[in-house]
Amino acid sequence: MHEYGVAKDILDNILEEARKHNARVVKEVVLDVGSLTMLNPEQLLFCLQAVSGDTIAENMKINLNMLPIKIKCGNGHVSEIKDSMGGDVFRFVTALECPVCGERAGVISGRELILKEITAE
Amino acid sequence: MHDISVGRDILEINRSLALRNREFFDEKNIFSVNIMGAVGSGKTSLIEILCRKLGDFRVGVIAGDVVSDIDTGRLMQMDIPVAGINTGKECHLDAHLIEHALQKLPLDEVDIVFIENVGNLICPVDFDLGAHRRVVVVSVSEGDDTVEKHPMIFATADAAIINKIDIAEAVEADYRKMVDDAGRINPRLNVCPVSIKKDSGVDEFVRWLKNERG
Repeated sequence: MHEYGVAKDILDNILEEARKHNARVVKEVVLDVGSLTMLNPEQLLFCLQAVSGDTIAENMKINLNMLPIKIKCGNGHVSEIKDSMGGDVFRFVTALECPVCGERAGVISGRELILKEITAE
Repeated sequence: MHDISVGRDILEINRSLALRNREFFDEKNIFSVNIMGAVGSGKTSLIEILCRKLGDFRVGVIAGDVVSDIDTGRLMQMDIPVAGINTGKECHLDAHLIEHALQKLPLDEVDIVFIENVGNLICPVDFDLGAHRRVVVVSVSEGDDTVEKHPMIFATADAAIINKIDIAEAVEADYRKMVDDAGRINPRLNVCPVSIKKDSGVDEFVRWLKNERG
C-alpha cells in the first residue's frame, strides 16, 4: 500500500501550486491515474482526504479519472488494452505485441499519475 | 476563483530521479541490480550467495527494510560495504532514497551494487530506482500460485528466481507451474528455478548476471 506516500506527494504539489497563486482555499482537483500503475483509486482517494486534513485543501472535491492502457506498434497501430481481455492484458503489455498485426509495440499510456487541474480561490 | 492548469506527472518525478541514479551508476562504471521479492523468499540469501560467487567483482549493497537493520547486519558479516535504509511507513524503496544511500557507499571501490528492496510484490513495480536490471525473487513456500497472482512485477522484471525448489514437494507446490506462469506473463524474462540453500541452479543465474553486465 503506497497510496499514502503518493497522496502526500500529490498534496505537496497541490499546496505548492495554490501558494504560487496566492489561493486561500483549494476547492477541487482533477487527477488522471493510469490503469497500469499499482495505485488503487479508492485507497488513493481515502489517503488524499486523510493527508489534506488541517490544510487549505481540507475539503477539496477530488475528481479521479482512470486512464486506459494504450500501446503503439512499429506499424503505427494504437490499441487500447482493456481489462476484459483477462490474462491477455499482460501478454500484450509485456510481450509488447500489437493485437492488430503482431508487430512489437511500446506502452504509450497507462503508467502516469497526473495532477491535471486545481480550482482554488 | 482560480483554475490552475498543472498537468504534472507525480510518478514522473521518481522516474527522473531514477534516470539520474542510472546516469550516476554509468559514470562510476557500476552495474546495479534491483532485487525485489516476497517477504522471506530469499532476497538476502541470494545477495549472500552472489557475493561468494562473484569473487572477481567488488560488491556493495543497499539494503532496504521497513524498520529493522537485521538484513544490513547480516550482509555486513560478508565484509562488504552495506548502506541500510529504513523506509519507516513505506512499503517500497524509491529513487530518492537510493540517491541518499549511494552517498554512504564507497563507490570508487565497487563494481556491482545490489539493491535489496522491501519484501513486497506489489508496490516496487511503480518505482524505478535507476538500477540497470530488475530481479524478482519468490519461493515455493509462498504457494505455487504466487506468480500468477502478481503479474505486474514479473511483467516489468528482467529475471525471476523461483527459490526453495528443494522443498517444493514438502509444501505441495509445483515449481514448474511457477516457472511456466512467469514465462507466460513475460516471455523475455530469464526464469531460474533454484535452491539457494543447496546451491543448486544459482550458477546459471550468475552466468546471466555476468553476461548482462557485459
